[in-house]
Amino acid sequence: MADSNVEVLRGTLDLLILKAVSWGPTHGYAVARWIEQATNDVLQIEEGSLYPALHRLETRGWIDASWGTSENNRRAKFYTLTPKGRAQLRVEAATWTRFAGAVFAALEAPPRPA
Amino acid sequence: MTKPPAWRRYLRFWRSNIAEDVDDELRFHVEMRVQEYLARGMSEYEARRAVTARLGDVDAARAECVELGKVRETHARNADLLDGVRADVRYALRSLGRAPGWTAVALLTIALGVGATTTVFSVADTLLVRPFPYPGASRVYMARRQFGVNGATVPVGLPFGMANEWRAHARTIEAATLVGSAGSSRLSAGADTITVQVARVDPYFLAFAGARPLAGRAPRANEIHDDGPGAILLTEDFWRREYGASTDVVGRTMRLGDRSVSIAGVVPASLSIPDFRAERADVLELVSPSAMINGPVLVRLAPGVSPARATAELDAIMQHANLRDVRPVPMAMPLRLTRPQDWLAIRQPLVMLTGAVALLLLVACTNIAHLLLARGATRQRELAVRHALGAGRPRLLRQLVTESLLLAVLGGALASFVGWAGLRLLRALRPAGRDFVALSYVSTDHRLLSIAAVIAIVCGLAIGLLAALRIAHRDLGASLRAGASSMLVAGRRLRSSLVVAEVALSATLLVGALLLIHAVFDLQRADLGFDARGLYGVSLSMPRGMPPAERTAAVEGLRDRLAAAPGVSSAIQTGRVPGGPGFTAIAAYETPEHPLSPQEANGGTELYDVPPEYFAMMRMPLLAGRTFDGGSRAANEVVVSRSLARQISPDGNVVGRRFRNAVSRSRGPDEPWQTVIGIVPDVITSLTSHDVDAQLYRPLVTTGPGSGGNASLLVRLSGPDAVTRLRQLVAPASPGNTPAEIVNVRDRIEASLAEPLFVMRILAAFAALGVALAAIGLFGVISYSVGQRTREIGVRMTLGATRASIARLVIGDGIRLALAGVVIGLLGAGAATRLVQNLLYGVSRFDPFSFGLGSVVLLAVAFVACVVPTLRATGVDPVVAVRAE
Repeated sequence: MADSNVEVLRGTLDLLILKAVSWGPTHGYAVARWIEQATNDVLQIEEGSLYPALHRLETRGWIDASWGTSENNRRAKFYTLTPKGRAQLRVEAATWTRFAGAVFAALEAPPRPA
Repeated sequence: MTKPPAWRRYLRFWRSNIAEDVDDELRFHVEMRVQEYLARGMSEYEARRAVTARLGDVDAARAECVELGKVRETHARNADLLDGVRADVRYALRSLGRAPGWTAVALLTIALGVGATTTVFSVADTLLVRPFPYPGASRVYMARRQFGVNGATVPVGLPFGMANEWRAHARTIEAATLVGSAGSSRLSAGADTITVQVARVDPYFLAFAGARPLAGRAPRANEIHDDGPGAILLTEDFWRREYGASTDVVGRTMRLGDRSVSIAGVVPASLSIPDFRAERADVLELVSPSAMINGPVLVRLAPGVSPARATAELDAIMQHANLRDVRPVPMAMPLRLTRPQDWLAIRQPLVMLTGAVALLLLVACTNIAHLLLARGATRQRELAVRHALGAGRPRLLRQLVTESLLLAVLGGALASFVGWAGLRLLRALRPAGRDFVALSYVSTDHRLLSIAAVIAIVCGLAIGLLAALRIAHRDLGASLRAGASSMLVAGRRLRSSLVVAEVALSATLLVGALLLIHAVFDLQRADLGFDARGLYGVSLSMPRGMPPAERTAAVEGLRDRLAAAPGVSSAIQTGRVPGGPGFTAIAAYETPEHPLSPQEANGGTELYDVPPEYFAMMRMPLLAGRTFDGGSRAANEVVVSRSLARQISPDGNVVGRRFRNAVSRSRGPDEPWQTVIGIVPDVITSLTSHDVDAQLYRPLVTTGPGSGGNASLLVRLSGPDAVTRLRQLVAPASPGNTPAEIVNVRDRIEASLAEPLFVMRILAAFAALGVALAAIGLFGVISYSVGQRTREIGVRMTLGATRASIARLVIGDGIRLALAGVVIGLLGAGAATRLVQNLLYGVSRFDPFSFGLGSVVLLAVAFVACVVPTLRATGVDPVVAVRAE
């Protein structure tokens, strides 16, 4: 199960990260947790790829990073969505919804007439 | 992208270890996961294994994160730099805007100083530095001969056909082409006649210049003959202007002067016509390589050949060629190869103007340095506060340099406009028909812009850095403490020496300009030796082949009609109009008692063939003897000018003496003796050149084979519109195709003043600018020092000093600086004018008038510049001043 999930996630990890940080400063671990919980543990990400993805988004200027203190008083790197990132989130979410709707519609469609 | 707050960039100073940060972040993740798993009841060992498994390839992830971190850091650093520059520029603009008066003066100074320099440098760049745009331009030389007369070097053309000989035999050259002097002529097709400028070149010229005809074709050498119908090439500009760029004109037959020519083709505008780039030719007349043209030959040396080696070979070929010579004189006339641009008459004035404008630029730079220092001093407090608030010295330095660079860029932009306008002005004011036509070749394109930019930026950077170092070097903390005036003394000394330098430079400029003004003034008032009022010359060009009797009748008919016309006081026929073209003999005069060798020739003599009534007509007094009578021609009787009389015999008492020219005698052994029957004053026919000041008058022959192809009349007019009437009388009488030329004798002689006048005006403008800048500088320094010494003045006044003594104090300061500057400047002028001695036409370079007037003007200007600061000083209220600190 884990292998097929990873493949799906590769293309959508960015979108999920953007969504995860859209409510306010969030550290990497919280992003991972949120993805697990929001997808009812269906999508388990390979956490090694989470951090390069976060850094890529930061380099692109979609998210901004700053060091702060975590809920258990440890130094942690927090990410926030930049306005540019928020716009990107809107675009990608819409694309994904359309794509998923199309695939879903195709799967629900009646069998091809013979 | 949102801009991070400015303070954020300082974070990276203690947070720049990227790898450590990545490790921290990953470690935090692992710790959180482990805690989570422990909370679910796993053992520590199990939890750690599970977390490691979930992480996957952590090393690759880490490496990628570090890489991305480095990219981000580079971006951030660049953005910071840009941000910093942007902030500096914004700050600089704001601080310049806060002092609009100061900024305006500074910008104006740069614009004028750099602009004037740009104009002159562009001209010098085009005319002196850049060679002709021919293939292998660095190997192109102009071959001429020269000989010395009275210490002056006179260029002489080559024997006819020299180019052919060299092309055939010389191994040191690749190509040779004969180029002839340009002149004005009439081009006519049917009844349609226009005046055109003609340059003459041989058929090898186009290939030499690397040009191809735009239309038609260039005739080959064997197609060109000097007798019979000729061929011409139109220049592109002329072709477009006159024929609307129609290719139909190629092959058309027209008349050029009195010769039938066909249009062979059109040459592109980019072709530089080598008449020293002086005249813009409309038409190139093709002549055979052996044409009798007194022009130089352009040669292109073979690669690797030195000019000296080429000169030696070409000279040897010339000595053995035995060609017909343009000027058969028995004197050594060495061949010289020179760069084509060296023959420009504009060369020396241009070198002088380049020097002058460099002085002006120095004055402008000094002034800017001044302004920056003065501003730096008033901003001492501001800088000290910023320093105290944490801006480091390098930061402040960068800020100050940014300000001066910004000033340089803005000023440079204005300067390129001023430079462009200056070039347009120069072109508009240039004297007509002289070498200055070359000015129209100077381009107003990107070269000018880049010259302006380079000058402005280099000066801005140099001065800005100097001033900034000076300002930031001071003890910034000290200026926060009240009354820290001791350090101001050092600054004042520097500024004072700058003012002295400025005054000195402008004094040098001013004295130079005054010398030239004096020279031109003297030239204009020179006694010509005859009465030129209302005197006009009329030159008639007679068609070839006109029977002598008809010619005589035409000329005498016109003379009699003119003499009878109202407003004409007299009209005579003459062989030559003073100041006009004519023959000049190289002469060594010998007497029967005192024979001379032709090699002893030491000057030229103008030859005049004149009727007996000439001297009365010219209102020239007969100093001794008598004038011509009917038998004068047969008896070889001549009238000589005073200089010539002294050449024949040192006592000048020569009436009745016999003499002849040893140079002519060496050519024909039976050269007859001539007898002096009268002596008249010398006549000045060129105000700027005194190479020839002797005249020999022979009786005019109006009939027979001795009378030449052209006839001249001399007419003295009176009354207001006499010239118009003269034109109306002369026009219908002109035989042939070429119209008669009417010139005012005085104007023609004064035309030689055009060049010194032009140079004088430019130099005077530079000097005025220099003096104005020096005055601004002086004003600045005195105002500043009054501002600094307000308290001192207040104390003095409290202690009983009168307003008059305060005024004396302030003005004394200013005058002392100006005086020091003037003294240094006069010394400089004395040294600098050595280089321009021969542009002064006889005025001594230590001319007391120029030096005296220059000093007086500068001291007066200095006094005026001190008036306002003095008024301010004497207006100081002692109570307020003393309490202020």
